[in-house]
Amino acid sequence: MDLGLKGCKAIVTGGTKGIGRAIALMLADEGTHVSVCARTKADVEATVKTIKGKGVGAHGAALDLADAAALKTWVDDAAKALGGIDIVVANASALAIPNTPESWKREFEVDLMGTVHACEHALPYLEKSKAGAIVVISSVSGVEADVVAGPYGSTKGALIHYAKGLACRLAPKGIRANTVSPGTTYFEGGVWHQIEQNNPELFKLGLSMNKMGRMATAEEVANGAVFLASPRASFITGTNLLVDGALTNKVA
Amino acid sequence: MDLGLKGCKAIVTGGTKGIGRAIATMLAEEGAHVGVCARNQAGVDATVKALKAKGVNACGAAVDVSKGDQVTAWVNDSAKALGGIDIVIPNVSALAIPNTPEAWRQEFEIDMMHTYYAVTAALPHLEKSKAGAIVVISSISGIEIDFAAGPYGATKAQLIHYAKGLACQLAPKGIRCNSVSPGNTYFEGGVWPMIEKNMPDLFKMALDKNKTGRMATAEEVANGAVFLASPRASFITGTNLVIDGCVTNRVA
Repeated sequence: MDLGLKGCKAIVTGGTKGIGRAIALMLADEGTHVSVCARTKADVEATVKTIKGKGVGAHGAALDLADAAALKTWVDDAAKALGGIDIVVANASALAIPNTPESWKREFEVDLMGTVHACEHALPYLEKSKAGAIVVISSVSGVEADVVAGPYGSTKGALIHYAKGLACRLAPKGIRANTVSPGTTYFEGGVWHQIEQNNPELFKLGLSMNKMGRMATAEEVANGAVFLASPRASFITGTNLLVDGALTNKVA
Repeated sequence: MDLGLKGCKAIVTGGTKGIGRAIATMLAEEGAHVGVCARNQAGVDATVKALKAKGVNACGAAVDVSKGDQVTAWVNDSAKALGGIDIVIPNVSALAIPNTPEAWRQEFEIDMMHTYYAVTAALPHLEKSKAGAIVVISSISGIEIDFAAGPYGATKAQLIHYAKGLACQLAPKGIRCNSVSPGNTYFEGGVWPMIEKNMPDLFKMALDKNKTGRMATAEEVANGAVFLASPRASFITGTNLVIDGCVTNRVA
């Protein structure tokens, strides 16, 4: 299936690791020019190099998403470097789970406001695009209360709501907005890999909730995100795509 | 994006018109062998011919899907003709909207029970597949109350629930099941051109609710259904993909 992504320009927050990196690389495989941001400069440089190796334009910046000014600068720089923005993938998360004021604040600044600033600041570019699309990465923890209910789960819930609001608001302009809610996703260096090493009991619990007997790969989540970001999803806006192997039990 | 559908065997009910036809055609374009059924023999013959012209195997039969034994026989004949079944797409709807016992019964016997018979007959074949997937075509009328609340809406909700249950039950066997909920879908010979001609006020009301200013094409719905049916959606099961251009306002 030709997704129609050739020549599109995409920006991905947290695009150097896990799901974000899988999305950035898959977009590049489809011929899209990609800019990423992440906290660690060396990771950004390595990812930009890998993306360029796929024969597309690539750009990146090291920043903390809680720094709104730096985030906005990256969006503008990415648009300049790539020649516009068609696709925004707001992916980065603080993964702050304990029920403390610090976690609440970090989830608010990184997951929620990082997404709000990235989307709102990219809007003037998306308005000039013929394939404007936003994909917000939320979580099954935003749709069902689980072990990470609290700062993480409720902020993910807020992201799904924000994306739906964007979809309604931007539909008349032909800009689409959707959410992807992954279940437990296992990748080298990721949170479940760490939990497997440091908290085997919790890992066992997480794995046992998976009716498929395994967790998602980052690529399986990226498949859904990239499809939604593409012109092939031209009438899909305002939906929340669960990529969770039926981990959740809720209907519809 | 290579969806990995080459050589897969798929069956689609109501595969000669509208959304079902678009799905059958798109599957064939991806290299899947396809079996269809519909009421009208001439429609089936023409569709099978068009599918074969895409270089894949195709088969079809004229079936009254309100008869469980006919649906079961068609599934088994298709499995024999195609050499197995990897993908089942129950798509037919009675489109029975008036709040009468007849309409309730039609919705039950056609939308609900033909899906049940198609899935049940196909299961032994799906269990032998390495890419077993079910995609049930529901409707946004199953998730929000609209003018089709009553027999149509309630039965579409039942289908979404049934699909989620299948997803949970079949996950340990590696068989996936998802539903697609299209919004208003406009295609030649479909229900919306009919409404446009015969009930212009209802058509205007429905079109006005489309925040994008238009209705879906059958192909736009098929894009989502075919993606979900494909091995690229390997960790997507138990989700309901809304393809409605943000007609619905509900969150998550």
